[in-house]
Amino acid sequence: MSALLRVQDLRVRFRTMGPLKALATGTEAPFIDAVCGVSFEIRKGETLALVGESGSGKSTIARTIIGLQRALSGSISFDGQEIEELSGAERKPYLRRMAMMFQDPVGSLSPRLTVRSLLTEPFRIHGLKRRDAGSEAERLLRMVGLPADFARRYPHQLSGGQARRVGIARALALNPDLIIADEPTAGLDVSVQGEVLNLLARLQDELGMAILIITHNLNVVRHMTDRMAIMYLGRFIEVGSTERIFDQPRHPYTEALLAANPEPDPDAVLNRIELKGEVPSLLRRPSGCEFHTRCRYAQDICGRVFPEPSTSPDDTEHSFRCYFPLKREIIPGLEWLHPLSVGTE
Amino acid sequence: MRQDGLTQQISARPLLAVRGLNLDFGTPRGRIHALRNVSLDVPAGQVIGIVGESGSGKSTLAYTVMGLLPENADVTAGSILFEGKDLLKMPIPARRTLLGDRLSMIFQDPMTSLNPVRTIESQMIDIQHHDQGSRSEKRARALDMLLRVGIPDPESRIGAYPHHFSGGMRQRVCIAMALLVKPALLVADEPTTALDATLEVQIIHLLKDLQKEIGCSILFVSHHLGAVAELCDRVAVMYAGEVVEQGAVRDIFHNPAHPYTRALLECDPGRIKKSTRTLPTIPGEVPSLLGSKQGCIFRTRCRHAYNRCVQESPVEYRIGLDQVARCHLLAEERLVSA
Repeated sequence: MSALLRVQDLRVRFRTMGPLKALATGTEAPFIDAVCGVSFEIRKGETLALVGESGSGKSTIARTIIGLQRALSGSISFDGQEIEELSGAERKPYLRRMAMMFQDPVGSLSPRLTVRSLLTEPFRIHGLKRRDAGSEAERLLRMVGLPADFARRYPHQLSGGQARRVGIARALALNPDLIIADEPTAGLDVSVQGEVLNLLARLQDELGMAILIITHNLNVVRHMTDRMAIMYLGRFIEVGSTERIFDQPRHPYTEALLAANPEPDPDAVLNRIELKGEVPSLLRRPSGCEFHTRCRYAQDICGRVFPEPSTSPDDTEHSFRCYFPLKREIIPGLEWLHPLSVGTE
Repeated sequence: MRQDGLTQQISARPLLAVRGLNLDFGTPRGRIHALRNVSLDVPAGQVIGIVGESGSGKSTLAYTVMGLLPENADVTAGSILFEGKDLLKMPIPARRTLLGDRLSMIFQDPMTSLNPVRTIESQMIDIQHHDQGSRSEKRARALDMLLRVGIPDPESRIGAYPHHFSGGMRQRVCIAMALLVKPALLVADEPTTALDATLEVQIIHLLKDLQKEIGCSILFVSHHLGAVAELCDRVAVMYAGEVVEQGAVRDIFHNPAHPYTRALLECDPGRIKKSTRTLPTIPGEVPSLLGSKQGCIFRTRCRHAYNRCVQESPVEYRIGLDQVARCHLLAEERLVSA
């Protein structure tokens, strides 16, 4: 299958201080690289997850794709057409085919518009006045499982889960090829999380759009996505099929993230891995492997030389940046134990 | 000798005993019954978890214990016994002296619970206003506590303002402040919700270690089942303002008796090891808490609901030694087995 969206060597830079202040304080590089050379592609109808903690650059990638943020360098092509260089007006026809669901379900809906206006706003923005707005809003509400009389409500009259559904309906309005979902379950209760994810999965089966999910919640990733990319300080540190990464994480950071995703069982949580310290500041990127300051397997070389991505010998889609990738030891008879250990390829 | 006295005291009287608590919020639309007949014990030296979804009243319960309710709140019945004295009948000044002394609290959002225009140092010294001692002694204690919560080089960091710290570090400062006064009871209202997953692990481990060291009790409010499973000794499950089930953490997680607890545990995607496109959900919505309620509060979403659930509110049924749940089915099962 051909790639719907292809991102190559994307870099996004933010200025941290004005040029004068930088000159006065003698700061050589008054900026941070929030996204640092990221490449990936999404095929038609596929679901890809970007996973990472706050500040890892995952939302910045989404904002750059839909043009809310300019890239420093790199290319973004949608259906074969380079879109990063296009101006706002030139970009518009492509934006019609991508829809974004923003992080805060209630906050991303304008408080003064009714649900009906919110749902038909995309048509107005793109100058499509083809059908009756009322029936269009009704059709969209039906798709996301909300009663038709919700069209008259305002965002403050919706619960978090309902607002999320309206957000999904709004994203679906123009029948996009790609939906970018930024933290689709953030702030929702577990029982409602399931509903929202089931809805997204069902709509994807019916309509066949591709989804880019941005999340820090690995539970979401496991049940929703085909492939996942794990981010740390603006770079991908591990990419591969979701099933494969859950089964055989190779990067120690991935291992820690998976372990930080506890099963609600008082007897099963004892093997959680506690990472030392916090994510380093983007202003002071560590030398060598950027994770070495928190890695429990770090050795001398990790602090000196930046690791290039390597791939698993048995799965070329699975790549990671680590000198000492983890390996599952399978002990005959004790398969359930699945210890992870450091091994050299 | 002292040890014996202590154990006797524990068995005789819990540190905090909430009995039949009812609380309403007056709103223009009518009275919202936010807590109904809530009873809960916090024994000395234990960590009690309160789990529930948004709107279940878990934070309201925590705020009621601390006496931090808004003006439209009205406790209509019940008592909160802390060290044998009823907090609700206490004169307000007496109750205030308990705060920041015997009782302290960690809030959900570490960004807004610290004063942004004052240094960590002055805030940490101020919180010790109940204690004797000079400013420099209090500062030394603050430094010591910052080191214990894992803030490296506290001597250079203590003069900083809250915005100089990251989210995880700020929550550590909040924990340090809350424990600086050596409270008998620490109320933690969703302390890890605003933090990333790897930081959540750190904070849970920190709370666990400090709780053992100081020996205080913790009332830990959370919607995160994994965090509760890891930290708590006992759990109370709340739904729409009622405690529907409570017991030892192992019993609740391994052998849930109330249909809501079961559904809640099933919903947690962390439990589902196999990849699936359809996740379990709890159909329906949390009922409105306006007006009077008859019957079981969960019946509208319960798979097992029958006539009796509509007519009669379930009482607490005891399961095993140390687990109680409010569900009529438990009485039926008993009849069948008897």
